[in-house]
Amino acid sequence: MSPSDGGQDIETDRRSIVKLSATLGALGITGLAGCSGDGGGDGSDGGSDGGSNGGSDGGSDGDSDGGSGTDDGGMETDTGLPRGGTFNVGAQQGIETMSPFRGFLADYLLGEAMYDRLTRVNQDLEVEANLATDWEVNSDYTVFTFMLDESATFANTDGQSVTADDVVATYDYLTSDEFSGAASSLSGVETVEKVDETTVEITLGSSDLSFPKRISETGGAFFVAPKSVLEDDPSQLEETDYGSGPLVLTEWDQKNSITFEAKSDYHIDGEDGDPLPYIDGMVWNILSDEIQRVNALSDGTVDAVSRIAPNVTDRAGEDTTFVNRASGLQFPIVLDTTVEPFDNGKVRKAIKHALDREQFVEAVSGDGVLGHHAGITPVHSEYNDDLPVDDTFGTTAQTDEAEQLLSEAGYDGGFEVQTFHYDDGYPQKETIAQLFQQQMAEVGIEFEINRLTEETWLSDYWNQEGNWYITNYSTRVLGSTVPRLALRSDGPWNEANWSNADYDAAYGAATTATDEETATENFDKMQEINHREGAWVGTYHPSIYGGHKEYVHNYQLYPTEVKDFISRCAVDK
Amino acid sequence: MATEDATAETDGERLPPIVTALATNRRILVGLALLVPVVVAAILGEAVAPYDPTETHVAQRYAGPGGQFILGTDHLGRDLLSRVILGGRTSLLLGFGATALGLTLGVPIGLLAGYVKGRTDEVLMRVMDIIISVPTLLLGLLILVALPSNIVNVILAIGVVYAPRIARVTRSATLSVSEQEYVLAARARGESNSYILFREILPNVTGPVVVEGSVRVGYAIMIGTALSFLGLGSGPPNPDWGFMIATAREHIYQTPWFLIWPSLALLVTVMATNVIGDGLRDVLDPRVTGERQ
Repeated sequence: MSPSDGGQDIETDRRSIVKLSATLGALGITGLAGCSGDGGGDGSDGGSDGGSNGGSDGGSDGDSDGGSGTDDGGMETDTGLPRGGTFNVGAQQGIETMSPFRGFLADYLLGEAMYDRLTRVNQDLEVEANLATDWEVNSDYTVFTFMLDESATFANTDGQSVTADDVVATYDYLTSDEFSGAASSLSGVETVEKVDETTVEITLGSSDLSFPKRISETGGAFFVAPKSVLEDDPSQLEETDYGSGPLVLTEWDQKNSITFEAKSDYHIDGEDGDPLPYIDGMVWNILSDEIQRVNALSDGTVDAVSRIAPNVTDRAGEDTTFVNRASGLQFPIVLDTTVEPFDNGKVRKAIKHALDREQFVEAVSGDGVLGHHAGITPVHSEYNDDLPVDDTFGTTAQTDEAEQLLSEAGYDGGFEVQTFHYDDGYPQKETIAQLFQQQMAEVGIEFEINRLTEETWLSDYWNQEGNWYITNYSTRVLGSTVPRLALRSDGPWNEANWSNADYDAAYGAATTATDEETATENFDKMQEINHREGAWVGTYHPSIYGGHKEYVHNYQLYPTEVKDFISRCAVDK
Repeated sequence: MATEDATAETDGERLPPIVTALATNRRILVGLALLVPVVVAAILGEAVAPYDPTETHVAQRYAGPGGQFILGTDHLGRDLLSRVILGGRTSLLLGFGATALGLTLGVPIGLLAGYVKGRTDEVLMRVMDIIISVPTLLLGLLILVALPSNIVNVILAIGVVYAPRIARVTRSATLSVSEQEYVLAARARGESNSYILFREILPNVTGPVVVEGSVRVGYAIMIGTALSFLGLGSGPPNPDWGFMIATAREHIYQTPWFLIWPSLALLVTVMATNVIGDGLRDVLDPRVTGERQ
């Protein structure tokens, strides 16, 4: 597949993401906790811009508390953050592979701990330096020059430095026939060339303001691996950690736990000027059940947990802190525009009018946010804040408008329609489906609902046979990623088969703009078109929850699910 | 006909004591006292349920017992009493339907195997053994993975799973009955095999079969509930005890009642069917009756 087709990871990746995220969600709301801090030490904020910085509010900040000093061996730094100790994390899922280029969400997540990309994003989805300490871009945003950190080295290679050759070799591997998937972050990339040992130049086929941010996209897979390994035998990546990330995998018990030790010469410094991470090591304890994780946190078996639902937070002891944050996770209802009656725009609008989205939030978690029916979520910088959420389509049901539109569409009094499907991947979907059925019945739209296993949904319905169902998309770094995959006319995951020339034009203009103003203007336009005319019926965006012991410092939340959150944490047991 | 006369005569003598025994058996009475209200409520369903069991009242979710909702509400504000009542319909239909199917399949197989004996018996029983060797829940799951998940298929799955067990009980009883003189006499008269099986043998193996069937009702409800718990039942928004319990588990910290009521209803129903089964065994199983005498 061409790297420029935008389709990249297509089915394998999508299925993988959905499969795991659904598994993760089976017992609670997904989300990922992160120990952040600003950690970036020498990282600064990267280069001379080129990237549209995230900067969205992301909801309430994690309320991780400050340090309380060391007491048993933790060496306190001059910033008050202790060093040393093993960080025990309770996680829902292990990993399927050690390769950073394959796998599910947990693999991506731990991939972030083991491997580095050129850039990274912080909790506000703003781009930061990583392997690249700085970057420059030409005037039309087509040529990006990244300056690599000279002190970055690969694990298990006798201290081999990360060089431009490794970046080029990684690109070559990811775009070769040998690699079955493709890195979404590399779509549109024409060449990756070495300028000198620590400088690499990436040329794009079209302008992209957000490219530095795009290469840190979830599932993008542009982790840099050693050229020697890639050229010798890439399958070695499955068995050994060759990353330049802050943690090195030392022991992998697939069913129970994964052990990491800190990379002593990690190239990014902490707040105290010494290399990250603050911890000596980390044990990733696989506790699949949500209650099990909370109990483990409560009794001190683990120091922190992620991916828990708000309704279990009462279980933990007094020395536990829970944090939450808005996410960009979304559960839109997809209407296939190639089948009746969803081919009728008035029917689609009627459904949006009949919807009571506040009821979803109240029933599902009581702690989520509404957005537009447009695929770009409120945590994204591209989100159209000027378009009120209740514009045209009420947050509460507007049955009169819905009935009027149905009548105009030739469905006076409503209609009976095919079975509505949802899968068991996320518990929220079941609640949404049941409420949706009742809300639509209010305007005469009658249908049965049917629960599928996630596997059945993915294999038989998603982007295939299903005429309408609840889909799900995890939080992406870029607001434009979901529209690129699923809302453009030729998006590879255009489940609704929706096509709108104005939308496509606005998408093209937004993503190839060379100034923020044009990009913003067109992103706003895209969302307005999709909100009013599109075939996605937005529901809500849940908050995400995590928890930690009070002796854990710098514990915050990432709106995305798969970003390194260990390397900035400190423990003071 | 001598045999029929003898049977009628015997029945004439035995019938009143059996009826009396059934009507006075304490276990049966206790079981019925527990089961009948559940059955009546399930049959009357919507007529006695205070609310539509699928109607949501989101603003009143997690309500405790008392007040507007007698037993409280679930996570979507649905009336738990109404859902428990209507959920009973599903569970009872499952229990009795699956048992009826198990009897329909298992009894003829058991009769045939026990009567014909020889290779037919061997083949039938080995097939039954194969089915029995697969764990009940696993077999039910396999069937429901292959078929769409709805109440009819759940009944089908459980019925098929239980048929071999019923067949074995029936065969066992048939083996002894088939050597009785009245059966030999029927053969001597030249009666057809089907006549002998269903008119001579079946009435005389009814006791153990009924006892087995009554016990199976409770088990069928349990396994049906387990399948629903695992998401292979009739599915939401339909009320179903197993699915209610599964869903309630996620909300136990908000309201324990959501979990308690369907669990209690399940407990009472299964216990009632088992107690009735024990009572029937006391009255109908010749071994138990003989020991008692």
